[in-house]
Amino acid sequence: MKTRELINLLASDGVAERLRPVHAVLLAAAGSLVASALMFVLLLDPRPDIRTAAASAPFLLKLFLVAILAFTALGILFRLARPEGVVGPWSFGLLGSAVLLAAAVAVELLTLPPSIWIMRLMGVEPLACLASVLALSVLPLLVFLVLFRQCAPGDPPLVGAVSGLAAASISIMVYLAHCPNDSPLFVVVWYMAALLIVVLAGFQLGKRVLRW
Amino acid sequence: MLMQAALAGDSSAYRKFLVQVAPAIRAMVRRKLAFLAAPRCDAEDIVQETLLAIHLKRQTWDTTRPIAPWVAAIARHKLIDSLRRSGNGRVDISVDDLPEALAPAIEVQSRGDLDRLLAHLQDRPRSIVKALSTDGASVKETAQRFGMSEGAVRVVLHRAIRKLAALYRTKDK
Repeated sequence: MKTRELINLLASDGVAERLRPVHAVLLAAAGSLVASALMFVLLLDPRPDIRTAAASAPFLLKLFLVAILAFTALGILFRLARPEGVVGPWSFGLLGSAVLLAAAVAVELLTLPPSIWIMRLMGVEPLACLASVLALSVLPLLVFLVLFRQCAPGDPPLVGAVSGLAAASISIMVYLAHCPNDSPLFVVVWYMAALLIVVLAGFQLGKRVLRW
Repeated sequence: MLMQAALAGDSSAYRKFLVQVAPAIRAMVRRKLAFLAAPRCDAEDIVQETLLAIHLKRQTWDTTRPIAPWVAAIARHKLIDSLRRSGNGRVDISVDDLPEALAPAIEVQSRGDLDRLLAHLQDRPRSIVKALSTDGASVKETAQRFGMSEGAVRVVLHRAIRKLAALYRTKDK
């Protein structure tokens, strides 16, 4: 086929896809929040002490740490949703999150006697916590992937992975209303384990479903 | 800017844009193929695959940003896809560069990837595609020829274009 013939064809096609990348990311974030909230309502209950906990420092610290992760992930996705987008300075956001988490864990370990470190690490029902985060993250990850299929992501596995990060961190923020474990050590091990699983799932799925 | 007018619905601006951007994409693709010592004869197929992607993903261009990096990124993406498909194992280097060099910018013939994909379309969409592309008929003329409404022709055309893009992806399997 001559290129002129292809151009004739394309110029005749007036139907345009409507979803712009910026809107795709916003819609995905909102959709993820709704999806994980829905799963929360179906599967879990708020922690009994939610009213007092919600104002407590440990809870707010957890919320803050995860919110920064979610914010960074979305910031990266706004850029990567375009074909020419690169992560750029947002990688420092990820580094910053890691540093903050490490600092919170360090403070906890230094202010508490070693004899209760293991107890803090294991907390209350860690595997249920991990499973719950995974359950809450499934729909959000799918929401991100479905919406990115309408875009043109330059690096499908990377976009999939960061979508996993966004989906998991948004889901964790919702999950915080249930989780009775306030220890940063617990968060780093169990929440981050769940997050890593979702990121890996996003990476593998992105490779397959985000091609265009 | 042409593409901005095109996105606002000006189809002659869109056509002009595609005509202008094709040689630029071709130059970039040829440069990269030469650099990678990959078969130069693949260039026009990659150009066409890039134009198809530009068409289907044109809403992903941020109108507040320069268009060249966006076009380049799409071309790069399709070039990588093409190299992955061919496995870099081909040894048939084209020696007939001269006709290409003399052909006007959009008269360049590809090796036929798109044509092979057209065979996978059903008869009606394929005929409509041929009418609009090779015969250069307008949507109105095509609608009359096939006894369809213009709207129906547009729907068939859009679906066929999307199918072609999807077929490129399955070519990898």
